[in-house]
Formats: sequence, structure tokens, C-alpha cells
Amino acid sequence: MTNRVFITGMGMISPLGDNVDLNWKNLLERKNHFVPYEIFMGKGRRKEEFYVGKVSCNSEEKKYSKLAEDVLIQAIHESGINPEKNLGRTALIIGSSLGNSEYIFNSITDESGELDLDEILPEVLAHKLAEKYFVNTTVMVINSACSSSSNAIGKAYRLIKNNRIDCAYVIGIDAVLSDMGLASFAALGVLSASESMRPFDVHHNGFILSEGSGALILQREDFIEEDHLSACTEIIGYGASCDAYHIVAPDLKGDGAALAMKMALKDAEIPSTTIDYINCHGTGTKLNDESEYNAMELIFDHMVHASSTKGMTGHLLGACGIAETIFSCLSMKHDLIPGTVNLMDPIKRSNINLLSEDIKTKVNIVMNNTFAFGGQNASLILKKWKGESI
Amino acid sequence: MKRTYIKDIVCLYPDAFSGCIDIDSFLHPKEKRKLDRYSQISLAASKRIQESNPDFFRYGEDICVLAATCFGALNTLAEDVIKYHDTGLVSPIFVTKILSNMQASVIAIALQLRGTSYTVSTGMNSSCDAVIDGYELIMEDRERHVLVASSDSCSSEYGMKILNNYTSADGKDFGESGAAILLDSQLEAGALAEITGIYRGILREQETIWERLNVDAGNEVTGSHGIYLRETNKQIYGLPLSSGSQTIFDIKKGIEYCKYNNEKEFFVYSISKKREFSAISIKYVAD
Repeated sequence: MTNRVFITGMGMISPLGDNVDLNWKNLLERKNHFVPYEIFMGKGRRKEEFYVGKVSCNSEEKKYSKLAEDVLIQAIHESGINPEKNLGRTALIIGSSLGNSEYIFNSITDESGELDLDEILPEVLAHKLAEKYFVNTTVMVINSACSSSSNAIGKAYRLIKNNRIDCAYVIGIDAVLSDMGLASFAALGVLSASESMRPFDVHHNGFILSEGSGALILQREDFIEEDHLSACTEIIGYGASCDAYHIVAPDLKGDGAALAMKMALKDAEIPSTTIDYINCHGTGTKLNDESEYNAMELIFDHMVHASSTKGMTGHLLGACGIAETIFSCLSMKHDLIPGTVNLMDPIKRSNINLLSEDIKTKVNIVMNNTFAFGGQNASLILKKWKGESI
Repeated sequence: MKRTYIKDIVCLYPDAFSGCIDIDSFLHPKEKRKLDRYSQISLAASKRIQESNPDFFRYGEDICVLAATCFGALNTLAEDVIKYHDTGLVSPIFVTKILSNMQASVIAIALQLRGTSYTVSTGMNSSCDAVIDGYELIMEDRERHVLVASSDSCSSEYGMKILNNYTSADGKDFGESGAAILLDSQLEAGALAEITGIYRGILREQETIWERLNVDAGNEVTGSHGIYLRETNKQIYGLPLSSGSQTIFDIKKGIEYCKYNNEKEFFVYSISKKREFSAISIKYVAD
């Protein structure tokens, strides 16, 4: 027995805003929300400045747990569910790459011995939220770096599809903005030195590190309240793979990423020609952009629209998959594909139509791709729910 | 629905004198430098299990890697953060050492495995949940072969600090652990046991795991993990703590117990402080 799986609620906090609507509005308005951040480079040495995407949060110390719970509340509210009532078999799955990096790094030199494990170990936070929101089956934390929350969505989708659970709370979260967090990504040479990102442009300059979170409520068909049907998007496919190539660099040929897309299409039982839009990983680093483009070319031999929304949010690391899934849902809802910011001169021109400007067009099926450090790839396929009976 | 067999298990134990696991025969010094201690251990366990199962690893495209850890890269965090505070310098490989997805990734790279790959972190339940995930992947026909590798190393001062906050009694003497287990959809190549059921949930106040699993084992349950042998209605608990590798150690012990005591079926379970439990029922496959 297999079930159909629907997204019935969404929550999101990013540098673009504290809720889903504000994120979408500011994404389309292309307001730059990045702010300068000076990092310590050693005693007596000049501080180095990078731009970052910060969320507005009144508690730096509890930021990680607050980001997770706030988006979950938003998503629960939108879905109309009441966690206290019987939702059936409910799971909570978090996708995250690191806890609250500032807290972690400070706790190492702090001698008090008291540690807030919610901020350090994502599983402790997951267990706490599970208890508070009446989860009664699986509680999990998946870590595949930048594809963490996509894999968390994929895991929840599979559990519902295969009738192991009825409802899932999925949270993607990362809060890595700290001196050392930035210094460590700077040491890898992947950070943009300017106040903007240029995904898929020949002048790509790396990414801007951001913090944020997203949450989705996933439910099986017969557990959805009728009043909330209009907000639904269906998840129809998920594929995951590993490049098995290099700990930081992606396989330039794009074979590993293409394998994840191929598996997602196979799972959805649709041909690639039915995809209207690809929401790309598009980090704006030379290696990722080229490898991702090559991977898309391996799968799509016809014209398909593609864009990256990271240029506006910055790189949310473990939360980027869920944030971009939310943008994909909104793209279908509004029949509007957001263009890639600062894309003047695309790295390549072929049947993969990299959009620089927003376009109004029918968007019924979207592929959302995320690719991580270490070559862990995840591809999700989402379908607009058009009012047919479930 | 596919069936899932346990093909082999490797458990790495700390040396009695040093308290550390010997991994030098499996990892090149250059390879070691790029990895946190816990990733070194799971990679060593994976290489060891590959060495004894070359046929299983023949087609890397079909093999999935699920890693499991409770604490992650505590040693690198402790060393590199202090260094950064003193000098402002960060190693370019710091990020790759502390991201726990790399535990799965480095195994996939070293062994050339291209299936699904990620790390499961659910505290002491981590390896039980990773094995359950592997079972689900096979059952759903998404993967045919799964390698689950787990490890933890809490030998640094920061590791001890975390442990002291994490648990009051359980983990006081924990140092490091590592394990690997192979799950296969085919029996032909030989198997140690078959996974016959998986269970996850949250126990209510006063509810025992036996009530939830519908097993008449009495009410006695001591500790956060253990084994229940169905035939003799016997519980084995109080086994040494192996942190995120716990369940793989317990599965190995359960299989050995069946082999030498004419038992046919057993459960392994792991229960977190918040009463989330994960459990697996396993049928021994006799020689």
C-alpha cells in the first residue's frame, strides 16, 4: 500500500524575513539583506570583513532552538492541524549540519561546565520538540550538510508513502554565523568577498553565508483537513546519491548529481520532459555551478527553466533544501519562476534555460536539487495540487 | 516487499592499555590527518568489513552508506577552537572535519560507494536508527546493499564535558567505539541473520518497551539498551556503553548468543532519556 504525500503547512525564517510570505515578497523585490560582519583573524592582525545573511532573533544564545521552534509553529498554524489531537502516527525529522556554531565554539573555552545541549546536539533539540508537539513515532536528525533538509523531507515522504507514518514535522535549520564559522568557510575559499552572490554567472564569486530555518508539515492524503486543501503541494519523487569523488569538490562531470535526479524521476514515474522548472542548488562557486549545469544537461535534453534563489537568501547550509522547497511550492502556487539575481553572463547557454528575470508561466511540476560538501546529493520532485479529489 | 539480511558485522574495541581503538593498519597517515578521530574509526571499521566481503562491494553504484554518531567531531572542535582563539588561524579542513555528514561521505569516497549517503544523529539510538533506515531503504526497493558504519570518540576534555552534561551515569567510562554492519537484500551470498521487524516510538510514563513491542518478557528493563531472547525469554542488559554504535554491538552479541545457545530470534533495543525508543527484531540464520 502506498499513500500520496502532501505539504500542508510551511514556515520559514531567513535573512529575507521571519515568515513565508515576507520571504517570497522580498525574494521577488530583490532587496539586498546582507550585512557586513568582521571576523577575528588573530591577535594584532586586522579583522577581515565578509557579508552575511542574518536573521532577526532576539536571543543569540538560544538562537538555534528558537529558529527551529518558530518555523514549526508557523507550519503547524498554516496546516490547521492541532498536535494535541490525534494526527495518527507522527514523526519529527530535523535536517541540520551543525548546531549553534557561536554557542559551540564559545562553550569550548567556557569553564563553567554548564552546557545547553539543545544548542550543541541537534538530536537533543529534536527530542525536546518531539515531546512538546506530541510526536509518537520516529524522531530523527539527518546530516548531509547542505542537502540535510532535502534528505529529511525525502525520508519523511518515504515514511508516509510507504504507510509507516501518517504525518511528519520536518525542520531544516542552521545557525553557523560566528567568527570561527566564517573563518573556517573563508579558509576553504568558498565565500564571496563582495556584498552579493552571482550564481551561474561567469563571474561567480562564491557564496554568502546565512542562517535560517524552515519547516514543513507533511501529511498523507486522508489526514488532510478539507479547509486546508488549497494550500497543498504534492511530493511525488525523491532521489539521493553520493558523488564518491572528493570531500569538498563536486564531480565536475555531474554524474553523482545526475544519478539523484534520475532516481527522483524514476520514483515519481514521470519523464524529465514534464519538469517545468528546476530550483537549482546554485551556490555561486565555480565548481558547484559547472558541475550542477553539467548534471542537468545529462538529464534534460529539452528546454527547461532553471534558477537559483540563493543569491537572495545566501547559503542557509542545512536549511537551504527546505527553504528552496518552500520557494518551489510558492512558484507553483503563483505560476511564477523567480529569476537568478545578478546573472548577467551565464556560464553556458543550452537547453537549460538559466533565468535572470522572474517569469510568469504555468508551473505544475518542479524539481528541487541540493548538493552537499562530500558529494551527498538529493533531488525532490513537487507537483501542484490542482483541486482534483485526493 | 524485499527481505533484509545481516551479512557481516565488525566491532572495534579500545585497546585495554591505551583505551583507544587501533586504526593504523587501515588508514594511511595522510588520510588520518584529514579526519576527526571519530570519522577515522568508522572508516577503519568500513575498510575492515570491506576486506572480508569483497563480493558485497563489487558494484559501488548500488551501495548506500548510512553513518551514525552520537557526538560527532568533539576532538577537532576542542583542538581547533582553542588554536583559533590563540592565533586566529583556521585550517582549511576544519569544516570538513566537523561536519558529521563527512563521516558517511569519506567512507563513500574511500570505498567508491554511490548510493544514498548521510549521517544519522539520534544520540544513543543513532546506530539503531541507521540500521532501521537501511532496512527501510531495502524494503522499499530503493537500495539493494547498505553499509551502516558508526563511531564516537569522547577522549578529549570537551568530550568529557559533553558526556557529563549528557548523562549522569551511563557514559562516565565511555572512551571510543566503532562498528560496521552490512545489510543485503539477497540471502544467496550467505548471511548471519535476518531483520524481521523494526519499531520506533516514544514510551509513555511507566510504559515498558516490552509492553510496546507486545512481548511477554516481564517488566524488568534495566538501562538504556539491551537484548531480549525470545526462546528462553531472557534479557541481557548492563552491557558496556558503546554510544552511537550501541545497537550494532548488541546485534553482534545477540547473534553470537543465538549461535552458541540454540536461540532463534531476539530483539535489540535502545531507549533515549526522553523515552524515544528504537528496536529491531532479528532472526538468526544458522550455518
